[in-house]
Order: sequence, then C-alpha cells, then structure tokens
Amino acid sequence: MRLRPGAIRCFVRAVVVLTGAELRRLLRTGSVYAVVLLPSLLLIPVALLIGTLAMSVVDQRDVVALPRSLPPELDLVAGLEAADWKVVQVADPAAALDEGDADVARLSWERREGIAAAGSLELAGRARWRFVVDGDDPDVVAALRGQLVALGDDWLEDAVAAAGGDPEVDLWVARVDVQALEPTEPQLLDPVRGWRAYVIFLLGSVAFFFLSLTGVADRRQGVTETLAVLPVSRQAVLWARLLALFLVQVMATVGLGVNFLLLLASVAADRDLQVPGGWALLSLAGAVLLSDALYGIIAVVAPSARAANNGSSAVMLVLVALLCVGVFVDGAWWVPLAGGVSARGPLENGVCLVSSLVATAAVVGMCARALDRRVDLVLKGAEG
Amino acid sequence: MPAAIEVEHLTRVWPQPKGPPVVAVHDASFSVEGGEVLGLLGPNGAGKTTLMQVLATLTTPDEGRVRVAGFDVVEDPRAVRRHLGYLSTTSGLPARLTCRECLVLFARLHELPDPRAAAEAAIARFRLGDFGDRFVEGLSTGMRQRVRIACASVHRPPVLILDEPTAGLDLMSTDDLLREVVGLRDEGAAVLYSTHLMHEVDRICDRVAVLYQGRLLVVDTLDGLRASTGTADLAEAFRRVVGSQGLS
Repeated sequence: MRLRPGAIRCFVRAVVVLTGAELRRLLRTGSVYAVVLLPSLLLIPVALLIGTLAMSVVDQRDVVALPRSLPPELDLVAGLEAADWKVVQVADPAAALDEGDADVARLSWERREGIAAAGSLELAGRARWRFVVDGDDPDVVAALRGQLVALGDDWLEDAVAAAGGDPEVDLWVARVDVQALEPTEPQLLDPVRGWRAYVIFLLGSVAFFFLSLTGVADRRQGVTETLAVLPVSRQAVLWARLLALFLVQVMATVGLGVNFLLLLASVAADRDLQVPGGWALLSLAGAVLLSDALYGIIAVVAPSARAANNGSSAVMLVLVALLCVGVFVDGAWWVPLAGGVSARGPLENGVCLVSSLVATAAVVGMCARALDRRVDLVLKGAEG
Repeated sequence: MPAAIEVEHLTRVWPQPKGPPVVAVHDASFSVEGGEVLGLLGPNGAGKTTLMQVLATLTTPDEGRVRVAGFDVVEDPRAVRRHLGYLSTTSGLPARLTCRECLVLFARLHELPDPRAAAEAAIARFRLGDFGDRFVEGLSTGMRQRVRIACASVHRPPVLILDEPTAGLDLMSTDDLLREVVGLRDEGAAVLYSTHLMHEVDRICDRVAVLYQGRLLVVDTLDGLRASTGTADLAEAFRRVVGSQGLS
C-alpha cells in the first residue's frame, strides 16, 4: 500500500489534535494523580527513611579483600582490623572486587630478600615483601598503602628489638613496598542492579496505570463511538492515545526518577557514589516505551471493554504475585508476563495503588541493598 | 441530483456465538432528500440502530448499497464521515473537556479552516454560551445532549443521523433540541431521526419509515401513513402497521 502525502498529513494532524485533547483529559483525571503521582510523592519520604536506615545499620568500614595465603610474619588481618578496616579473606580478591563485595584488595604479594633474608639489620635496599594494589581512588589506595607500610614498620620494630639492634638507625629501611598502579576511570561496579529494579518498578506501575485509565473507560462513555464517526482513521485515535499516555508517563516517571536520584544521593552522599545521568534517561525512556508497547498489545488483543476490564480477582492476585516476585528476584522478564496476565485482570484503582506501593517498597529495599557497598572503586588485579 | 441518503437493498446480519445469525436489517431501501426529516420508527430490536450504524460507517452492510452525501459507505467511509453528523444513545464526549474544547476538537478533526470560529458559531446557534467553559461531565442530561448535537453538527453536515436524541430529556430540553433539529433541516440538512415518541414525529418529520424485525414495512409521508391506516392518530397508525405483521 502506498501512502499519499496528503493522507500522511491528515493522519499526523489528527494525531496531534487528538493527542492534545487526550493530554488535557488525562491531566484532569484524578486517577492519574492517585495511581501514579501520589506513589511518586510517597516515594520521597520512604526513600529517605530507607536510606537513613541503610546508612545507620550498614557497616561503614572500607572492605579489604585479602588472599587466603598471607605472609606469616605479618599479622595483616589483625593489623588492618585494628586500623578500622573490614577484612575478608577470599580465594580470589579480584573477583570480590568485581562483584562489589570489597572496596579494595591486596591482590598479590611476593617475598623478597629484604633485610631479614640478609640475616642482619643492615641496609638491604630491598623490601621484605612487595604488595600490588591497584585502584581508581587514590585516597583509599593510599590509606591501604600506609597501613601496610605501618604493619611492616611494626614488624621491623619487633625484629630489631629481638635482634638487639638500634631501631633509630634502621627504621627508614623499606620493609614493605606497595605498588599502586595508575588510577583507572571511575566506573560503577554494580549500576545495573539498582537501575534494573527501578525499571522493573516503573514497568509494573505504569502498566497498571495504563490499564486502569485508558480506552476502557472511554468505551463505556461512548467516546470511542463518537470518534469513530469522525473523518479520522481509527489508527490515529489509537496512536494519539498512546502518545498522550506516553507523555503523561514521562511526566509521571520524571517525578519517580528524581525521587530515585534523591535516594541515591542521600545514601551515597558520603560514600562517593557517582550516578550517571545517561542511565537515568535510558531507563526512563525504556520503561515508558515498553509500557506503551505493552498497553498497545493489550488494547489490540482485548476483544472488548468488558473482556479487558473484567476478570477474576484471582487473576489479579496472580498478577501482583508475579510482579512482586519478579522485582525481588531481579528478573525483568517477569514484567511482560505480569502485564499479559493483567490484561485479563480487574483493574480497580485501589488494587493498582496497593500494587504500586508494594512494588515501590520492594524496589527501595533493593536499592538500599544495592547501595550497601562502595560502588565507585574499581580495583584491578595486577601481578607484582 | 442524488438524494442525501440512498439505501438500496441493504441487508445486515449479526452472527451469534450460539444459535442462528440475527438478520438485523433485510433488504431495506429508502432515501432521504436534503431539507427533509425522515422519522425512523420501529419497536425495540427492529433494526433501527443497526441501520443507522451502517449509515454512520460504524459497521458495513452484508448486502446492498448505501450512499451518504453521494459517497459509498464501503468504498469511501472517510468522505461519508466528513459529510455526516451522528448522534446515538451510546455516543459520548470526553468528560474532562469543556463544551468549547469539545467543539474546537471536532472542528479541528473535520479540518475546518477556522475551528475556533466554528466552535463559537455552534455555541451561539445552540445557545451554549452559559456553560461553554464547563466540563461535559458537569452538565445536566439536557445540556449534555445539546452539546453532543452541537458537536455532531459543528461542521454543518448535509446529513444528520440522530438515534433517539431526546431519550432521557425533560420537556424543555426536548423542545430545545427539536427546535435545533428543525433549524438544521431548514438549513438544508437531510435528517434521519429515530424515535419512539409519536408527538416528535408529528412535530418535525416530513416522512416516516417503519421498520419491524429488520424489514422496512412502510416509507410514507405522515398524511400518507394516516390515510393508509385509516387513523389520524400516529401512534395508532404505527400500531396498525406493526400489528399487521403479527405484533399485538
């Protein structure tokens, strides 16, 4: 089929006109505010509360991952813990860093001749142990470096005392050599976890929103029939509705997005968290587009207003369960499934609100969990 | 010059999930000229609404040919809609738009050169000025019906299809609306007017068509109907026409 320019112009014109009318109508509909904007506002105190709680209960110490094999002469675990580091001993410190389970790691060490191997406390010119630490945060790396050097100093003092030597002469000797590689660019270790949860929440809530507010009510009011006898294509009516809903969703989700950023900012204020703006935009746009697509599918598939709007309450319970489980298991693939089920569910606003709040609470919890670690520090494994 | 509405051997059948299909309209033929009101009468379930839906391009005929303002409802439905004003008992307006916004919206969708002027003209013609800026949902039934007919005719269509437009209206609102329909007819519009109320037929209709079980029994002037049934009372004339088909 070949489209004539005149037909395209008429179509676009109709879509624009209808979209304007739809926007006016939607923005004057109380349910929009009750179902979407109210939860969005509620998210502010909820997010701040959760963030405050997270800050108060979370162990604020920096986590250092050490290999299981350590120099027996240096009691690194006790020494670092005494210096307010949280020490975890793992088989693969690099993996711990990659997974966000540690803030910094001493990735490798080697024994050298050093002063002990020389058999005396004379200048040996070489360190006894050489450690390699790589990181993008010079402060954290420097702190670990200083701590390791201090532990080496302690060892030397003990060794000097045991040997009866004069520590004032020999303490400047490099007992521990810490090599810090060039800092890498700051990266988010685990940005996906929090943002994916946010996207899931958005998808779920906007799906409810679409289903509760859209064409179904219009059909009951006879608006659809009225529009059907106007000289515009029915596709234009559908597209205008989708476009208007898209714009409303953008407006609504901008509020949610700001709240989410507030949450991140509040938790990360003293933890050097960096939030990339591109992620926020992509997530919002993706959520909105997918939700619109979801509504479009439902609108097309639903055989009638009655069929779209009336189902058994058991179906809605299944829907809510799917959504909540999907949020908790962090699986975005649950969302289309939940949306598909919702096409046959009863779409009462109260249920939508409760579902949205449940999803909100779940996601806030996930965000707090995701933020329970420093996320801007990347340490790479390096050979000594 | 062709009639504003031409219906030739129209048949429309509604399939049923269970049981045999329902023949809503069977082999109906009639026409309506510009400047004429044709009253469409018939008991409930006679097929009036289906017939009007075909004319309004809401559904398509199974057989026959239907032309509105010279355009075929199957071949050129958009042109039909451009020349049509339609109002049914189930059609509605966006509740959260004002009357004025509705009129402007309809005028724009009809691509009128000056939508706002057209809306203001409709407001003046249907005396909607007092509630032009009120939401449709806040209007009384009578006011809302006046807005609906104003929207349906904001583009001054040559053909109006009105399906029981006074249903639920009080006497004063009915009088207003009938006056407006007559005004539109006097401007040259062809009006197909479905109703159960004989006093409305007597007041505004030039001819009547009686539909019963999907079949068009009579298309005649009021005087012709009275003469053929032997009674001056239109309600009694209607009963006799339908009664002749076995309905008591």
